[in-house]
Amino acid sequence: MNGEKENFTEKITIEIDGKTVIADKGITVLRAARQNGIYIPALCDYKDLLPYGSCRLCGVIVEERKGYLPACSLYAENGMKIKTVSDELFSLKKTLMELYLSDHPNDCLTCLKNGICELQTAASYFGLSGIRFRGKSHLNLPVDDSNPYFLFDPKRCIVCARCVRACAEIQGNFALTVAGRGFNSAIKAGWSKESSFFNSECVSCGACVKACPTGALIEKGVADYGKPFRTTRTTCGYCGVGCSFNVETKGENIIRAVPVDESLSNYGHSCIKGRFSFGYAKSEERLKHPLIRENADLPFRQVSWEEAFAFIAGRFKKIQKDYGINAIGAISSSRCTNEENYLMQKLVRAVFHNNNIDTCARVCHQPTGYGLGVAFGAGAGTQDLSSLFKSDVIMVIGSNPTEAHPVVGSFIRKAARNWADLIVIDPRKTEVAKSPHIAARYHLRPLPGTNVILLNAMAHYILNENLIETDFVKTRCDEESFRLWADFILNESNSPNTASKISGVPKEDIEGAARLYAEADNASIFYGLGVTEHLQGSTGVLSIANLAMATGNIGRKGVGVSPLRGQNNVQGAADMGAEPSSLPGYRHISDEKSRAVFEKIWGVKLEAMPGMRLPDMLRGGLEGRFKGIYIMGEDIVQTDPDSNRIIESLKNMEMVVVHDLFKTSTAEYAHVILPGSSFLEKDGTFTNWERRVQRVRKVIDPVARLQDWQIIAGLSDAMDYRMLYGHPSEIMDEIAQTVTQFSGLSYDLLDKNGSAQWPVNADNPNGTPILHKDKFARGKGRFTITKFIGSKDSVSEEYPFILTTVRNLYQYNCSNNTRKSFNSLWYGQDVLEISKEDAEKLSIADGALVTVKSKKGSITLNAKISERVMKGVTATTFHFPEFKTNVLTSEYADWSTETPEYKVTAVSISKADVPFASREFKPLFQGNEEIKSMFLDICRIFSPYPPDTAAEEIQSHIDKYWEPFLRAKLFEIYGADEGNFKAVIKKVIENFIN
Amino acid sequence: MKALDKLVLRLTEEAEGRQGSLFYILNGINEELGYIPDEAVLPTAENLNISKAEVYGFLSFFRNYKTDAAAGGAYHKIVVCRSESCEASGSKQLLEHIKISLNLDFGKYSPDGKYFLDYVYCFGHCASSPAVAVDGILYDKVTPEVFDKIIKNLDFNNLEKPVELKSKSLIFKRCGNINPLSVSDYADNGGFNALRRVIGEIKSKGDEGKLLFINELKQSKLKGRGGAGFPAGIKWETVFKEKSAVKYIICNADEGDSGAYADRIILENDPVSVIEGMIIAGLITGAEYGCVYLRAEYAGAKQVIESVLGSLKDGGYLGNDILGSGFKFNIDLITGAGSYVCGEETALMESIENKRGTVRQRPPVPAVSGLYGKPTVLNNVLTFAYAVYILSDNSNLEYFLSLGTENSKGTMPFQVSGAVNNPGIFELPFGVTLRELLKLAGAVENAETVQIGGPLGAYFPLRAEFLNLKLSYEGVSEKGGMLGHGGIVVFGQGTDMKYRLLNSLDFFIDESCGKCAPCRIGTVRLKELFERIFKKQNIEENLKIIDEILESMKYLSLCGFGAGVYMPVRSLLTHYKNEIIEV
Repeated sequence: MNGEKENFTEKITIEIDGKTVIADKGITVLRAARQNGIYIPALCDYKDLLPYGSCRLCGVIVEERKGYLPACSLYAENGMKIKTVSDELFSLKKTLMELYLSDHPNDCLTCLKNGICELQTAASYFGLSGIRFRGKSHLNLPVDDSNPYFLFDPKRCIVCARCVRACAEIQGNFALTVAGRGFNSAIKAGWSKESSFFNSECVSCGACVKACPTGALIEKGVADYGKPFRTTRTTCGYCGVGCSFNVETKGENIIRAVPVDESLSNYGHSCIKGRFSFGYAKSEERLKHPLIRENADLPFRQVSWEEAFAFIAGRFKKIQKDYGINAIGAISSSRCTNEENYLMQKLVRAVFHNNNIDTCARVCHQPTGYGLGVAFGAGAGTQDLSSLFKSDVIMVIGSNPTEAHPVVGSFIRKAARNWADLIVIDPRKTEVAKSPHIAARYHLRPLPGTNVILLNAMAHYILNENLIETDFVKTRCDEESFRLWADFILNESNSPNTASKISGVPKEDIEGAARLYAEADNASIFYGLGVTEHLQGSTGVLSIANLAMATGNIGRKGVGVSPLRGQNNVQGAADMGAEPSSLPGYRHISDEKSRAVFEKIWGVKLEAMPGMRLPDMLRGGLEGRFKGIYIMGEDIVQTDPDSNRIIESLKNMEMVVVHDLFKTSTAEYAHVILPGSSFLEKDGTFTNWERRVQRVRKVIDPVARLQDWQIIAGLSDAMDYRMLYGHPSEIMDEIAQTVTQFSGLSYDLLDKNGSAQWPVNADNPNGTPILHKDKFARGKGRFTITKFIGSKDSVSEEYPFILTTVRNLYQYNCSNNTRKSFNSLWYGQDVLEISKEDAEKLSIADGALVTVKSKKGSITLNAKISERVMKGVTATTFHFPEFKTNVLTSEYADWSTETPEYKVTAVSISKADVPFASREFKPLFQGNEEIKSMFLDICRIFSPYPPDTAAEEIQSHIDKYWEPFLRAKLFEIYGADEGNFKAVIKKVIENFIN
Repeated sequence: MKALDKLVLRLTEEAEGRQGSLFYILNGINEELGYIPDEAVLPTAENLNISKAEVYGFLSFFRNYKTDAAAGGAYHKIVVCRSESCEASGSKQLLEHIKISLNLDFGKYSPDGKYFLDYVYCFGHCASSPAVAVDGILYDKVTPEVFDKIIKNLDFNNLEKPVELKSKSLIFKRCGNINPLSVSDYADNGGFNALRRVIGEIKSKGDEGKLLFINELKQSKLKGRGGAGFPAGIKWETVFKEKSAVKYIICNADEGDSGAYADRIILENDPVSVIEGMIIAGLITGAEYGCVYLRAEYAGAKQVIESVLGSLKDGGYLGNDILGSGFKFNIDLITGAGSYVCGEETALMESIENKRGTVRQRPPVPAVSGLYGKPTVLNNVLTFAYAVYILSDNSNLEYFLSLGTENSKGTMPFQVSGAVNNPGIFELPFGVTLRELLKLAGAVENAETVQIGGPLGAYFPLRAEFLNLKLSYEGVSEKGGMLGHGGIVVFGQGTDMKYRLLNSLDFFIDESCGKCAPCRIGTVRLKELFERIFKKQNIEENLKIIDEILESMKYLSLCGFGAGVYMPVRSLLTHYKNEIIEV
């Protein structure tokens, strides 16, 4: 995981044992030897760690140099002549090896590391035939098997400290140490004699286990099943980092998952979820057969796939006949492959004959697609992971990467420890803001919901102080848009002074951070759901894009804007057109030419009007005009806001199909449950936050026989539209045929290169690590006015606290997967983080049961007094179905994409006696108020533009993204028609200007 | 807030901006409570923004830190020195007496819980061995009878302070003649000449001025007096040439060799000369920050240094505008916590950086990448004093060069202890023979053996061959030994060489940092093998294995400590094989 890797292009020639070898310049003699297949015994050296020099086995003889020099820390120089062995050296090392083995068990055959142990290999090099002396030893020390995923056996430890260094240098966690000294030196997790791996600060990333040369640290999977004999390389199914793993198996048993060193998405690193939390795949609770019931009051019965498909097809057809073509739709899944998402939208467009297709991106990163699309012309991250290695300043906004994207989090912390300055914008204290050896130069802690004014103020300062990268703006960006934006930003309403008052961040910090970002040679921005899951989510993304363009931080290595995607394939699901308004490849559904491409291949006529977004479907359900939904791989009842509204809506439907691994909270309201296949059970591709497409390869057979893509195809067949694919590679071929960004992509290419970042086409046959290099995808970069509008939910006497929902390292999203692993041992329930001051004021003790109440409902949680949250702000996760956090969150959503405002909910907190969650749906809007409010938000956002431009933008926005019903309703409310719509809009905006 | 948290917070605030902050905090807790409670780890880690495991790894490394609450109980703590010079002066008998009379053993409490017995390797009071500390008060020349008196009456004051400085020629001249705490006394007695010269030349000539002094130092052939004997001028030049905005000067006052105490004597009697050396090193090499790294056992020196650092700051000799020159230099005092290996330069720097005091792999050398990876001059206490002497005026350089031998220029404070009647420091030109020195020190008639250069030095029987050896870096080296820091311990007839060997192996086992395998495992195995030999088990084969292990340690160890085990053990086997093997 060396950022320097790519500098190692220059070659040098050295001589080892009389053999001339070519090596990369700048590497050690040991690594040069290894590159050339020459073995020098060495135990403390490890590819991702700095030279350490403790094992003393790698000494070599260098011509014209005295003594024996350790090859692990001797840097190869051109012309160097090296001998790896002489009689004397061999004998010295052989004695040393005997010393090692004099404090090591003699039981290679019954050691879990047998055959893959570096100590064993080194010992065999010396041909030791016995140990002539033993004595004091570590052979009786107890095994630390407290961690459920791996064990530490001190008797097999050689104190090379690779584990300690891996924890520090790779993971950046510093949870391990060597304790004691001399012969008593021993590896220790934690901070006292009693501490163990489990109760230490260890986060089970597995770096230590991977780095261990002996059987001292080893996965329990190996203890259970023995050495693996089959390896399948695949891509992790958890977060958007997209780590590449070698999954090692024996028969149908998964022994372990080891991160792939060559992978450019994770450089051999991993987190607890990808590395260890795959047990859910073999969980007894997995659904194994399709289940159906005529109505929601009846029990489910087990049926064959054929019967299930026929049942769904019949109902869906009937609903369309009874309620119209638009009465059904589908939710695709960011957890599923590109191929499955492609098929899902194909099913909706070609078989349902509407555009009612959406994904869970709707509730997370839709503003990214929108915002970066508008500004740059591609709704995707602009750089790759290795770009981070060249960044001098890294700004992390609304993202908690060490918990939500742990591998990227490790790289950010590594950069911060070694070469980069950090700016963190987050109301909550995260580990990138401060953790051992890391302290952000600036940690701005705005009140939740005030990102936009803060970012505007940074831009204000940058403009005022002339820190703009004028050349970049002039040559690369749209000048008129810049002028309008600059005029807007320079208003006093966007000054650091004003922003400070609104956000609570000191003015000096806003200015200091702005200067640091603007003056850096290379600055990168990483952001997450703390930006997007807001009423102003899209504006937040746009203000980030504005900052990056204004300072020239786009389009080369070391700079860029990177959305850290929540789920593994959020990027891919959007790329594949699992969206109501765009076809695969982000072509708007209204574009006739684009439709024609698909109409030709699919042999059907496509609907030109945008379809229903997920919130539209739920609204339609409540109103009785939307009656059938097919939900694949999303537990909307648990994870989407306003649970009671979702339940109400689902109950109103005549056909709810839930396609998932487990009987989820949503499945309780289903008519049909289809057993899905986990990522370990299928072939396909995922696309990570870097736009990197990587292969998912089948490791074990699907529990319920069918892979997800086969299930979609099966349903399609039952609805009389044949999807004749023999393998997902054929779906990818169809994608390549229809989507320009993917035109050069194939499974063959991925097998050859390991991965490829789109666009992959004739110009970039191996993909595109950095976007917008010479020009933006849309031509000129576009600045957008980013008017700050405050959150609708704000604190009041009745609801004096802000609740913000967050993530925990050990659980993933609805936790249907992680809950079936051992991860709950670390984090087993949602808790309410509350500041010490607030807890004291409310007389709430740490751990006490409290009622959290919002306008929407109330739940109970155990309080956790935490320094991570500031006064007035509380935080919780929504990982566990029993706590029902999303009962509290509301239907308030981003003005542009309807991504919910998870991050700001006004709540009250009081002591509670018994656990409780309200199940009553309380709408915040009556009648047409919601539509009106949505419209007014858009008008407010665009109001700073000249009226004609504003009206144009607003109309175009509504045309592009609103489903016909909603649009019609809006016209009805305002008495508008196609002819006078602009005039109506202008009249509305006047109110905001005046 | 809990009292402990308050204590940690106060110590953290005091440590703010200091190097060696973890030492500062843990030493503070240790002084206050007598041990380091587990609960101290969390606030310490948080305040320093390091991990709890790092704090634990650090505190578990150092001998002075105990995590056991009982360690802080109300009892009398007896600490006996187990080192060579005390042993040569009767500590073995004393120890037996203490163990029997109070029913004690190392690391144990007496049955009545009133006493606890511990040991150190050297208090630096070798000239008045054996030394024992009771409840932190150090007693010299402790015989069993004296010990009984001490235990009966803890206010007992056994003897007047012995005169430790026997002859002085260059750097010890002022010692005893000035008030060590008085900066003006120092100034009035030839002090600060070097500093004024350096400031003047640098002000007028800039880098050329700096090179002038580097060249003078190079011409003087001054070798580092810490033991390794690396030319100081070349070290300063390397640091001067390194392009780095931050550089450091470290004074290594972790004088750990038993039988060596010259650093302590000069620090207690003429501390400003050492500090002046650090300041000029800073000005010449471009470093603005320095620290004195003092071993924990030197409580007296600690007080003196603290006091003069304050006075020097007040007098404008330290700070952001030294003597109105505009130059900047500041110094912190860091006190260790009990580790011999921390006298090794890289281990020392690691420990300043709040890491365990283990040795770093070289290259890079500290002059290029030292403290926090920055170019660092690390010199021994005496080296700074010699640099000041040499750079004070032109004539000094000439005189310095006129003394000593071809490869060892100037003088050396030879520190003699053990079986001698007139122990002490003799600052003499290099090249004096062992015979002459022992005569001066009044070696007892039946003096039989010397160990030169500390615990890692060789033992020499006092035969003509060795009595005639010239005390210089090359002279001792030619005979298979090393001069080291110039400590010479004399053993009289009847010394139990088996005990000597085992005691010495215990020292290696206790003090091995444990990072590299040869030293970590080898030291323990050596002792076990010798014990087997003492029990007459497979003598020949075990000797052969010992031989192999010694060779392996000598050539493969990470630092001079592991490699250094070879010399004393090998020399004992060479010269005292019959006694040790008892064939």
